[in-house]
Amino acid sequence: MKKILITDDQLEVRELVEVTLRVDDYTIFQASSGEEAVRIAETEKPDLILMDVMMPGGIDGFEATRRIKSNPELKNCHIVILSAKGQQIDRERGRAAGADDYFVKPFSPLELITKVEEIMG
Amino acid sequence: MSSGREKNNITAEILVVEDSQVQAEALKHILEENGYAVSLAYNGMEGVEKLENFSFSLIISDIIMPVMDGYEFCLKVKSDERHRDIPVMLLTELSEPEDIIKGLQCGADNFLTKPYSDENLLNRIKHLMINCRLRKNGSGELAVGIFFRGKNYIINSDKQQILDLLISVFETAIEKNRELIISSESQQTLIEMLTAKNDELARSYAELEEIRNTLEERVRARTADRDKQITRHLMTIETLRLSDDKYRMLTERMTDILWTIDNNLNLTYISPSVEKILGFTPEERMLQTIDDMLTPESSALVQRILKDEFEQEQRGADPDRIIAPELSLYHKNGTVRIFENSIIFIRDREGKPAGFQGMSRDITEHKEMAKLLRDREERFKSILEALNDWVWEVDCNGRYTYSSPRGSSLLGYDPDEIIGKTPFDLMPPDEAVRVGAIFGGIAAEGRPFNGLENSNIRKNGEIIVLETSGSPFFSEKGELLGYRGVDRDITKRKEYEKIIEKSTLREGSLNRISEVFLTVQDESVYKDVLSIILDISGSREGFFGYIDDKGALVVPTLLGEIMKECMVENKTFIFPPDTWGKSIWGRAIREKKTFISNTPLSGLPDNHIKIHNNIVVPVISREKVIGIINLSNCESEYTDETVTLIEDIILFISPIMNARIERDRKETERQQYEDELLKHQLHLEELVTARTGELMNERDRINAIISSVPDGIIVTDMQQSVILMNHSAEELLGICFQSVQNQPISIVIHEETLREKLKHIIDRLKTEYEFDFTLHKDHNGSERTMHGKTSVIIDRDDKKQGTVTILSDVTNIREIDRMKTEFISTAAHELRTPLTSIQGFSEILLTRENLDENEQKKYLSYINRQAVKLAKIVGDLLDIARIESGKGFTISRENCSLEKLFSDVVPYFENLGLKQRFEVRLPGKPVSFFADISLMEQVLKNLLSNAIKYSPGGGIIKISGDEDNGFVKISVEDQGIGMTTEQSSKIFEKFYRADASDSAPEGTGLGMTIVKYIVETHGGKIWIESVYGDGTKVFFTIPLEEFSIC
Repeated sequence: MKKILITDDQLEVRELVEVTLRVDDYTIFQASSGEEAVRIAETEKPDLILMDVMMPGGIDGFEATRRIKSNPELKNCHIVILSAKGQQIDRERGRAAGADDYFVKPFSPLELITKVEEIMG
Repeated sequence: MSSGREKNNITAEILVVEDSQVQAEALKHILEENGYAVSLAYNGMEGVEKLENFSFSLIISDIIMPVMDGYEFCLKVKSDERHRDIPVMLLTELSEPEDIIKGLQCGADNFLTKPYSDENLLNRIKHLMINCRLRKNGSGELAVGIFFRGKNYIINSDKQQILDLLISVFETAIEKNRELIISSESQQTLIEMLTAKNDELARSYAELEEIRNTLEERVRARTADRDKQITRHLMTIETLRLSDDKYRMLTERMTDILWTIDNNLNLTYISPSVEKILGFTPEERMLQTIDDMLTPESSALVQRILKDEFEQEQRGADPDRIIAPELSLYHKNGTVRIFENSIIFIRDREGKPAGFQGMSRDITEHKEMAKLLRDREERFKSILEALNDWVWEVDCNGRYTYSSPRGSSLLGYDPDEIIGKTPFDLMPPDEAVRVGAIFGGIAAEGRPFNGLENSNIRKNGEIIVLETSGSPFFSEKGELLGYRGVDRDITKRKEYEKIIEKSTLREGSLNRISEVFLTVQDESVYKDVLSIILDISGSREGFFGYIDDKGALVVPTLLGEIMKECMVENKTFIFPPDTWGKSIWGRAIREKKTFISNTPLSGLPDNHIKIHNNIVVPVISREKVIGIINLSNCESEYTDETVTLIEDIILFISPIMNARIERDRKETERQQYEDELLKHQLHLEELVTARTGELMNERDRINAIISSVPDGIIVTDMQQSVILMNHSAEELLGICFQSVQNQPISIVIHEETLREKLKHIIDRLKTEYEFDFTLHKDHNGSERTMHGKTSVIIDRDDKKQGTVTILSDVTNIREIDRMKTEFISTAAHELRTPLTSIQGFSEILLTRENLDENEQKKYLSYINRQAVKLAKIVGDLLDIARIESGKGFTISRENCSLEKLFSDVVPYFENLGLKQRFEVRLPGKPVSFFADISLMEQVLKNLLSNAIKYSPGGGIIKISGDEDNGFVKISVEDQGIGMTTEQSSKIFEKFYRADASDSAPEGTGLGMTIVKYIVETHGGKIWIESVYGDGTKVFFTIPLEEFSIC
């Protein structure tokens, strides 16, 4: 069963993503900060990480992405930035940080499922 | 025409050439009166010109004349065949024979010395005319008319003879007349000479009288003596007949010649004195016949006497009678001597005549003396007769005792009628009084007098003006015996003088007026001319004015006593035609004619001066009245002569005056133009000054603006030289403009970006270019973001003049821009976050059918919570938009209770289940204040949200409130992360978030801005006390009472 890590400081968003993805069989982990996301990613080695950007606590989504991607064990981990920031500069910053995809909030749950299924293949 | 005139010689045409106008006129007058036609020329040249046009019968020419003198003129006439036959009479004041010779040399036919009598002149002319005809007829070689002592002689002689004759005649005449002639040049000299002459004459008369008396006395004495002698002789002869020797001796000593002759006139005795007296010895004498002794006349006389005496003897005459013939005897030397004789008969005893005995005395000297005296008397007489002057003598009573013949001709009285009269008897009564008064004074002091003019009445009633000079004569004791003097007829001269005076007055006046017109340029010309005319006409008052463009009479000045008497200001009077009324001058203007009145004017206003007499003469030019001259109050009355003179002068003035008026009119016009021009010019200058002032002000203002503009301004020309920098630019770039003026920017500007951008725009010639660059400031090393905006300066002619660059410090703007961008990004994030939940869960609720009720409820509550959050964010954004747009909030104040405010807000946060604890502190008493309660809640919620947001570690959040000096003071204190000083200072700026990073707490950064606005709108204050890392305390105050912004 594929592992998906949901990273967002907002409870509602984590809940929404999990409910959205519940239609398929995935093992879902949740992290509420960048730091937590990095930690869980290192231990659980998820196949997909849905990463928020703006999170309090010193490590934002881009930094967390950079850290995870800089870990050779986690380089196959697919990271999709799921951010309210949708400007081109944000997308570039995500790519620069090593993110594989960029998904802008608010999103349609159906679209997210489609996207995740496409990634998980 | 000329030949016709010449033949028909009834009125001869005479050319008078004379430079003295007066003399010419006088001569003309005389000639015309005597039926001659006269032409005048004023010098020889003019004379020659006249001759070219007309052939004259006679020429009378003066000698001394300008341009061409009389001699030269005469020579010209005589050397021209056409005119040779015209007789030329030269008039000369000169008296030297040489002058006459000169005159004859130049071919003159006659000459007349000045002064000449009319009669003399006319006679000369007549003879000249006759001579001329004689000459033409060839009847004589030359016929010369000589007028001498009232008789005319025509002499046909050769020139030499004429010359001799003329010279001799003139030598005598001139000698006699020279003094008189010369004296005619000077009245004074003449009078003196005449007086001297008169004295001499008087003396001569006295002398003559004396001599005559002496002679008579001597003759009487001699006769008596001789009678006695003869008696004695006879006795002696009788008694001493015998003593012959003795007798002889006696007779030999005698100075007289004693002689006896017999009846046959043979000499029987002659006394030896004959030899001494007649040169013959008695012996020689005895041999001579009576014819040898006597001149034929005397011999004949003797024959006649003897015959007569014998006849008388027959008739029984006195036998002792003495015969006393005067006989002329020959001297031995051939001369004739005159002898006075006393002859008696020698009788025989019977008493019959036996011969004669006589005594002869040589009286030749006596005779000559007597003749001399007679001649002298005759000469004086002729001088007196020839003199134009009347010589007279009056006794001490003023009665004439002597009057020369001239007196009779002058006065028309016989000499007898004059003698015994006084001069005053011959004068009109008032003249007698006048002259009497003058002469009385002179006579009282026994002074001589000269040139006393007086009018006399001729016997025929005519008035004759005489000029009298006289000298007193005295007895040996010094008593005044009378006056002797001369009178001269100056009637003509007076007339001439009058003519001359008139003509001189006219010419003088015209000259004065001309001078006035030439020298006086302004309107005072009228005053000056008027004053001359007043003077000439003897008028006391008058005015002189001109007619202006509008037809009004303009009188620049009134003259005389008018100003004083009428008490009017002396100014220019203007009388428009409707004010002329019935005035005489008004009529004169309208009727274009002269008005004279010698009677007082009536109907004048009371304050008008009295007009006793008046002349008004219009000045007419080209048939238009251009002015008027009004003269009043002549001393006597206005005569036709005065009117003629004034009209004459006016005639002279009118063209000058017309020209003057025309000139003045043009001058006025020109002046008006000039004034207007000047006005325009002044106006222009004013405008220019005003405009310049405005421009200066404008420039100053622009300069002030430019220098006070906080933006830096740099102006360059097209050669990239700096031509202007304002103060801000100097400050910003650290350059002193004065030191870099007109230097190229490549040297002046060190800031590379700026320099390159400036060069760029000039090179590319773009019209506008904007750029940012970073300025590294030296003093604190801080960087400033600068914005440059460069534009090309394009003048009116679309030509590029240079560039102007405005440098603004956009550090803050850029920061705000950055914050805005960040805000948009943040706001988008903040909006999207709740939207993510709302959209996502609502989609799940809509698409998932297998959701249970709890799940559905949970998702709906998520949606709701996020919607509320969204509303808050949208509310904040709307608030800030309102603040930004200046609309602000609508505040509805009401009484608020501090406790209620806290109790309404704080529990909401407490119920959120947060890490932080809330502590509310209230004073012991209730505090109420006047404010918008919902806005107060918004403020407090905001502050609490921030306190929670920035104290992630939890801790206590203290909420306090109390009354403080009319305000309620509320504070919110957390124990969170705190802020640096910089952060604190920016907390109230829009979009500012203390931590703007992606990992910062969520928020739009608008909260504090909104809070501050609300507090201040209520009249309160808000401030922060914060220590970085050690919590933040926010205070705000709200007035207790309603705060009035006004």
